[in-house]
Amino acid sequence: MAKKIRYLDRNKEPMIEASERVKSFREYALGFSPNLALDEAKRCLFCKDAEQRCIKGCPIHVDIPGFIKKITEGDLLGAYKKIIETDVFPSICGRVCPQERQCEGSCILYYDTVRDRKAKGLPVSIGALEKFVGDFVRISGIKLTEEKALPTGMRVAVVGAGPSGLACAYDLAKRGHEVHVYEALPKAGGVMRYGIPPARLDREIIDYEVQRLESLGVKFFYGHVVGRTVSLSQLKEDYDAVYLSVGAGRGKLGLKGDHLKGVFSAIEVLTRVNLMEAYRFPEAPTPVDLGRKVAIIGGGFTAVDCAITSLRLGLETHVVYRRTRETSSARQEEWDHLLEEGAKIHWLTQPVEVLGNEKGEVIGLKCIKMELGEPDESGRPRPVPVPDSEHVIECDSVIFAIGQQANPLAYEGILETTRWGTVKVNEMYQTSVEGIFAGGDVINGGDTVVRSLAHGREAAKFIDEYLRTKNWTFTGG
Amino acid sequence: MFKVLHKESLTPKAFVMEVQAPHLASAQPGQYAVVQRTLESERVPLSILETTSEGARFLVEVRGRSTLELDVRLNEEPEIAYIEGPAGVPFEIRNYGRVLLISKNWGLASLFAIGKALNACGNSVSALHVGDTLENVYMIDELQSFCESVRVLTEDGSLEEGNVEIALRDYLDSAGKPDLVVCAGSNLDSSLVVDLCKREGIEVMAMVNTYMLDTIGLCLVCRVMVKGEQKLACVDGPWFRGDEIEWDYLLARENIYEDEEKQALEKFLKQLERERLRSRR
Repeated sequence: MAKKIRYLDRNKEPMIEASERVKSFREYALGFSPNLALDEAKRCLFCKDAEQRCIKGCPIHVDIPGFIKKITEGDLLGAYKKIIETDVFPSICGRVCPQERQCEGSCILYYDTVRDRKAKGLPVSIGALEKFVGDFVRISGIKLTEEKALPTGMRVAVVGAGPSGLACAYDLAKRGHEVHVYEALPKAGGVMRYGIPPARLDREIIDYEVQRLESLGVKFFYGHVVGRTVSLSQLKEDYDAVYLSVGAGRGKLGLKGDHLKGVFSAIEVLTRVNLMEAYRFPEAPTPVDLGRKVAIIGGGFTAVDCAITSLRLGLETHVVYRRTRETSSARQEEWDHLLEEGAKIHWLTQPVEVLGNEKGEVIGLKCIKMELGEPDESGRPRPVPVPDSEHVIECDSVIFAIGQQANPLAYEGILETTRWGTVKVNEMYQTSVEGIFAGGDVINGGDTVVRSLAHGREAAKFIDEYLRTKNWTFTGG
Repeated sequence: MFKVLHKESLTPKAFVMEVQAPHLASAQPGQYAVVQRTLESERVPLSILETTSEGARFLVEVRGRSTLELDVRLNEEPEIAYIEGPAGVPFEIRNYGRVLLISKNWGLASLFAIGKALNACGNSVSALHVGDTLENVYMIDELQSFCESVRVLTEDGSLEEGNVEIALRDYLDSAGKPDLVVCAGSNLDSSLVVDLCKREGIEVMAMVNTYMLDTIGLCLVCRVMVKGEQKLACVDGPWFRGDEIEWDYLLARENIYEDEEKQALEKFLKQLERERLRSRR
């Protein structure tokens, strides 16, 4: 009997009710049970040409049908091993990747990428399955002994303990190199630690992954600011190679009135709340003061993370974005979640000025409405102002979540940079200085966690090759 | 964990501590470190008083919850969970000629290493220190060891009464114009010093006091306007040319968390009181 294709009965992850989840920072997506996961796994058609579909859609090219097959075979450890062949941190990617634009967006049930046409169903819940597999292994208490090559005697410094640095450190350690990770902040994880709210990514998961690295022999040096504590050039002298993965996390403001009290970069708010736990103030000593009403400018992941945060602080939350929901880079389901939680989202709304009182405090955000006009160079319809649509959103604080910029502290004056201030590399992640590699946001200016992981792992391969051959091919330009 | 090798009270409000933190050994005059007593503690930027063979020394004035936490908890357990640094741009040490250091309260901690280094490279260094009270006067002997002249005033009159403006005017009257003034400790006082220096045509370098959070150039909470441009105190500073700093901007942002700071301190004092009661039982 031919297998019936289950187009539409996609299993939903259990969620905490919106009214309940805004009361705390605990994770609201509770993940598949083993039975739900098994049932969902059985929806997969195990396409023979998956290389052209979900695997291609995944920036790090996880063997998706491979690991899902293992779930259906009742071999969760096997599924885990399959995933970490390419993606070191399944629990993390399962939570924070925008799967609808990656693997799930290329699932044949949803979209036939080979024939380039819409199919009639809903994609396999690949993200939730990946998360399930990662969580299962972590929670089971099974200690996987990860194989490691014999020590090579080579030493590599990794600068920055974000996703890219951690992934690179993992691979280098597995290849037998001695790896030292330099991190300025007190904990590893980078944006996953100070940016993404625990409601989306429980901190225990990051701790677990960091412990995995430590058990592979990776050493962490916190409180070390490369560029100040030690220079990049010095590290290059002290180690056989250096991987620079400091991200591009400097916040950005840029609107009339952004000097007012109550104007924040997204990074400040997120760091206060997610790293320093300001939501527990005054038990936790670091405060955050956003007033009663918040306006968040932006339409990407960072804006979503700010909104998740401010809703959980109990504040009236407005998100203001000049384009439409469809063109936003955040996950569509995140917008649904935010709406359920009571956020007010203003699409096609362009902020023009932060308004203040005579004490210099924020009292509102002046905006104009936009409508979609002719397509721009990127092919997206360009938003154009609607005449006489000026209006004010009343608020006590304004958070700029409009993207980040390069933070050149570690490499200024040492490495060649692009005109955006990011580091120039060749296809082997080599920079203008022999022995120094770079990857993650420090070369692409701001992308997803999974893209950074992919860079880290690919770079590890090239670093390993360099350590053996000492070939350097960066030519600049 | 970083060991605190030595801790000594100077006045009821101030103490000096020496920490074992080899990564601070490369610190240059003018740089600072960020200290968290525990990983939950606030991130406190502290000027580096001087480096030692094993780490660095700090002069800490108890001003609020987190400095009090350091004072109290280090007596119980001489360990610090996290120290980041050295951070900030080093002060430019060269021969300026005659240099005048002006500190308000804990500002002395920030000027100490700079004054010493300036003296060592041939400058003639003098110092004016102004404390709110006698409790904000400390390390004067050490200061005298590298200064030609030191004058100490307090605002409450417990020593000779005066403020930075009076002190600077008196200095100019008696000693003439220095080639460089360096000031730290209070934005308001520094802005007055800068005003006077500007009028007199004296070069002045000032340290800006801002809130700091990540201290590596990401969050922008420490933004200041310098010559019409946004600069970050954490990575571009904390020292800027006094005449180029927009002091109104700085002063407007310096007390954003005043209420919360009071609240946090009260909470912590209550906690300490409870601990005292418990230990008495």
